[in-house]
Amino acid sequence: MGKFLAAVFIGLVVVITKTASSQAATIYVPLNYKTINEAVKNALPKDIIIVSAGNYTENIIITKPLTIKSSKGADTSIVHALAHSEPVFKISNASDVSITGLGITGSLVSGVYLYAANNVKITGNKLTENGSGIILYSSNGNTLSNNEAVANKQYGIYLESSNGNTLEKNTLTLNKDKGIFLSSSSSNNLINNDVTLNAWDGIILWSSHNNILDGNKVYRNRYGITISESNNNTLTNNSQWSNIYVILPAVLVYIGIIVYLIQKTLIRFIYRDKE
Amino acid sequence: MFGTTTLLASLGFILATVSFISGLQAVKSKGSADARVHKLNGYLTILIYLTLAGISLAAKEAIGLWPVAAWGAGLLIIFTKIWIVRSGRAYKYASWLGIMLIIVWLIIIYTHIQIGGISFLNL
Repeated sequence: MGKFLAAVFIGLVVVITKTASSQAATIYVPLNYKTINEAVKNALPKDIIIVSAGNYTENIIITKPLTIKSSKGADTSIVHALAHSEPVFKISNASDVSITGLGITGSLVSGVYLYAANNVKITGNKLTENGSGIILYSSNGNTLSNNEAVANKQYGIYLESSNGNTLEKNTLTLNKDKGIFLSSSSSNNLINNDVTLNAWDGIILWSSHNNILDGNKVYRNRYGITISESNNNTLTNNSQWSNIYVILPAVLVYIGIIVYLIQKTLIRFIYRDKE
Repeated sequence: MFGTTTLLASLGFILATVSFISGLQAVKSKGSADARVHKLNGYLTILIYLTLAGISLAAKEAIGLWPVAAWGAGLLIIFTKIWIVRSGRAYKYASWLGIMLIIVWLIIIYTHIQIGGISFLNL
C-alpha cells in the first residue's frame, strides 16, 4: 500500500512538472534580452515576448509560434529596419504567430512579410515608410486587423497567392501606390477597412476570385475599387468617393456661381434704398 | 479628411470665381451691386491668398526661390489688376488679368488638394 501511494505521488509530481514546463513563458525586452531578435531566438514555441517602450533597430525572422506585443502601444515601441533591404519582421513557414501593437518602419521591402505562414495575427501595428506595409505571399488563413499602413512607398497591404485571409478595420492611407492589392489571391475577406488618399487604387483585385469586400470606405484615392480579371467577388456596403482631384474645381465653380447670386441679391436688398 | 490649406484654397477659389463673375457683370451692366460684390470678394480673396502663402512657406524646412517666386508672381498679377482697374489705363486687359487670376487659383487648388503621395507642385 505504501509503495502504491508513493508511486501515485511520484506520478502526480511528474505530471504537474510537465504541465508547468509546457506553459508559455513571458519574456520581456529589454529586461530579459536586449533585442527582440535575441528574445525570438531563445524563446520556446508559444512563448510571449513583451517589448517595452523604446526604439529597436533590427530585422527579425520568426519561424515558430510566438506572440510579440508591445507593452504600451505602437507609438512607444518602434522597430526600425537594420538592413533596409530586408523586412522588419519576416514570418516564414510558421503558424500561430501574433504581432501586436508595434510601430514598424524603415524597410525597403515591407514592415511585415509573411511567407508560407498560416493562422498569423497582425493586429494594431503602425507601419510607416516601408516599401509596403504588410506583404503576404503564399500565406493562408491569417488575420490582419486594426493596423495602420501610412506613407509606404508602394502598397499598404499586398497579398499574392494568399487565400482565406481576413483584413479587417485596417487604415491604409497616403501610400504611394495602392492601398490594398490582391494578386492571385482568393476567398479573402476585406471588411470595414478605411482606404484613403493613396496615390493610385484604393483597393485592387487582380486575378483574384471569391473575395468578400464589405463595409470598406474608399475615399479620395485616384481610383476607388478596381477589379480586373477576377470573378465571383462579393461587394456589399462599400462606399467610394470618386476622384476629387478631377471634380473639385468644377464643384467649386458651381458653388461660386451660387454664392455670387446670393451675394448679389443680399447687396441689392441692403442697398436698395440708396440706389 | 481635408487639410486646412485644402479648405482655404477651396474657399479662395470660390471667392475668386464670384469676384470674376461679378467683375464681368459690373463692366457689362455698370451695376453698383456687382461692383460691391466684386470688391468684397476680391479683398477677401487677397487675404486668403496671403494666408495660404504664409502657411505654405512657413511649413517648409527651407524656403526655396521657386515657391517665393511663384507666390510673388501671383501677387504681382493681383496688384497689376487692381492698378489697371483703379487707374483706368489698359482697362480692356482687366478681364484677361481676371482670367489669369482664376488660373492662379486653379494652380493653388491643384497644389493643395491632398491626393496621396502625388505632388504636382511643391509651392
